[in-house]
Amino acid sequence: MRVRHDRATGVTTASLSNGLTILAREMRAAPITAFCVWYRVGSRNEHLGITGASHWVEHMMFKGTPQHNEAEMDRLISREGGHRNAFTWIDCTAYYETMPSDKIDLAIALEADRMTGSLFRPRDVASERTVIINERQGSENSPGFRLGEEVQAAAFRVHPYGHEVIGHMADLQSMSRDDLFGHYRRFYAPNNAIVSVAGDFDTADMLARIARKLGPLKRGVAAPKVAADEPEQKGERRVTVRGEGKTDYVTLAFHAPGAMHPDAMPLVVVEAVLSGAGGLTFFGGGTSNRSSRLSKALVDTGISADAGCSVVPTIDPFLFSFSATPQVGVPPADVEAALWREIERIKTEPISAEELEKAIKQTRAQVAFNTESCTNQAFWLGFSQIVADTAWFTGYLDRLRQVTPAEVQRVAQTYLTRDNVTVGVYVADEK
Amino acid sequence: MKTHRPAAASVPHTGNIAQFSLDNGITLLVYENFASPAVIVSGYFTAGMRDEAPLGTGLSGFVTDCLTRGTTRRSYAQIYDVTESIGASMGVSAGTHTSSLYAKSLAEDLPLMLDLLSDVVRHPSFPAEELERERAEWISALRERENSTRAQSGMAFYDLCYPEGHPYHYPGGTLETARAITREQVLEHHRTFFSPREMTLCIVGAVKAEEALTRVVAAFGDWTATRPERAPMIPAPAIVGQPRRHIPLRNKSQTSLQWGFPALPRNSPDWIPAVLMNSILGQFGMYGRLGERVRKEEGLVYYIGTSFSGGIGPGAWQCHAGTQPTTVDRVVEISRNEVRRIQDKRVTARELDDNKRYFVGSLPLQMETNEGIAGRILDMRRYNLGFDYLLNYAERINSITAAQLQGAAQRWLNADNFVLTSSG
Repeated sequence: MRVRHDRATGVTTASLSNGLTILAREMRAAPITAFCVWYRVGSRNEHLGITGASHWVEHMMFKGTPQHNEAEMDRLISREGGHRNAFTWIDCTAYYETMPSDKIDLAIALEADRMTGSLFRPRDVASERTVIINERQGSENSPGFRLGEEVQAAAFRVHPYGHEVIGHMADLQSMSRDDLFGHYRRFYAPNNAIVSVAGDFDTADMLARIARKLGPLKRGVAAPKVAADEPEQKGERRVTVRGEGKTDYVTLAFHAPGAMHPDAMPLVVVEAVLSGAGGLTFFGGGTSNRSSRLSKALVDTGISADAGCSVVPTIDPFLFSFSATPQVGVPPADVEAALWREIERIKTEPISAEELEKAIKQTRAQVAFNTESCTNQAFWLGFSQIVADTAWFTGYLDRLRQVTPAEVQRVAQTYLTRDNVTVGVYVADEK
Repeated sequence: MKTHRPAAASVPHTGNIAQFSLDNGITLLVYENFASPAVIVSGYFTAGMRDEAPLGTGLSGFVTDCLTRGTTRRSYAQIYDVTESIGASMGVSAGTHTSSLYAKSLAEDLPLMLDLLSDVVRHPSFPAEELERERAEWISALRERENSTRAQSGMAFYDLCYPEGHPYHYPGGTLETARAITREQVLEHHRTFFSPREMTLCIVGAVKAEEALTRVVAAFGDWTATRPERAPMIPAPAIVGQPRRHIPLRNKSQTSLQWGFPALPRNSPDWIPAVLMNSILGQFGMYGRLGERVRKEEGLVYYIGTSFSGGIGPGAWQCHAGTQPTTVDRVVEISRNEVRRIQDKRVTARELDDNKRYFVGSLPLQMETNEGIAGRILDMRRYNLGFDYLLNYAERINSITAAQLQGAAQRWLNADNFVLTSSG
């Protein structure tokens, strides 16, 4: 095992001979430990016909192995006071357990077991098909989901980021057990996984425990690369979704660079100035945004009920998105125009030193809030390694402090352009 | 009988919660936690939907939403400029019995946040123009609510479950009441019902208790307002038969459903047996017995679960799920059968032991964050559980028998008389 400890950040990085990466951080405040396993597979690793496969595989990972049936896995974790769950994202799939520290061996053993031992029984595939279709239908109840799905599809012509994580309904109805099992075998192996662990433990002891259970697993064939570069957009795209309800919605989505790109951090400041500092990841959080530029320009003036923007760190270039909900009687076109006015303003006028200072302070607070719990610490460590590396996480505030108003203006001019936008409007039919 | 016990040092208790009583009636509870540089203020005071006359206008919620719209010292813009420039958040919201207030910031900003909280709670100016802006946002939210299957089913549930004149009957305002509320009513509600007499504030985070006390006294110590006593709530008659209501919404792929009845308050002696029983029924692992039957075996739902929502009042027991329109009756049938089963036959020793271990073992997980710790401390205060409740928690849980669970199921569940609502 190769081990490197960064004293400044308290993060230990280790790698096993089978390719597994381990990130560990001790937190002694409470007698609990969070253990996460991240796989480098998400909707970006899918294509038409198997859209939604990563998410479906996530469901199948709870259906049992030769060693543990489904009910037994749930029971073992819960009866020790643990909490576990999983999520699938465009770039990754993650499984996590937060447990009393003296029970963490159970989580390690179960994750080791299902990394390569999940069964994918045909009858379980069949019952999960209806569960996932139900899940998708629940999302479809929301106009916001329907609009977002259309905007994403219009924004990406080539890259798999163009489909929702849950997948197309047609694929959910037709995908076979072999499609799913093949996806699992391609991507679930120690050399395509990251373990992040944070909590009340001794690092050397924790690494030994992990190595004992996960070390014997065989390295898999290297996962196929995603080689679908999205071509540069050459003009505005526009989608309209009509549907039930009394409320319209407006979205503007611009292609934006991935987390490792030097322009990513200035875009974080654009988000903070226009909409308040975000929660830093898709795990939620974020400040209220009543004093932000968008809120003052759209909400305080009665144009929209809410207004905001966000950019999330991703492996490949994804989207910088604006959204607003028009007030009763305000045409969506007026809301869109108001959003463009604020976009033009940040492109033409440098932000003030006070705005930059506010963005930094907001983000500093978000980092403090987001890292209070060991569960969030483990999330941060693993997520950072998925989209970049742990230095991306530990150096986040330092990089933010280096951003200048000129850089903020430059990235706004570069990415927030008319030729790089997909405009989406949900038109409600009961107004 | 096995005994499972959390580490004593990891739970708030009499020995590590600093308690202070201010002359004006405010109780301050402080739990020092220097694990991160953050701090949270969380608390409640007696003002809420129960005080509305007539009930159901949503006035209490509108008042709390408008508190940050301007004070005698700060404009709306200034309030949010100050709060957001330091990365903090703050708010007040009305519930049925009490209103809650919270602030979250870096510890260095606690004095400022307490000053802001005090300002908005005690000295709101309710500027007319800002009230209209808030009203417009409220109306937008109500219009969105009309298109949500979960919200529609939930509102119908309480409408059928509790009679007119009971505060639980009402959904917290309608488009009509939102349009009709006047500024005078807002001022009157605030003047009449906002008082420190029964206020509790809990501060958790990187601050010394004495320092927190000094700051709270500076912010709230000279507040002396009083409020009138409340009339008791009218009783809720038991549900007879199976009143049912469906709220049709077009273009919805999934139907939200819930069925249930009024249940028990948090301080009932039956509470622990009831929630342990409910865990086995619809929560443990992945949605308990119901999850096994409805999701895992039949694949009828993405989510299903059961809950007791009792607090100061009885709330309700509900089974809630999302399913296809054609399978609503099947989901209800299976869940009713599971209710009958847990009433007719005692849970197994293994189920009981698993759930006891879960309740005891998961306690530290509920206190990973300052919010989680504050929530547990406020629960002990609000429901008169005693501040050593968590120290003795394991003993309480471990003493429960299968017969007590069966008794709770028989007293608090009913598979024959219930309200069933759905929307989709």
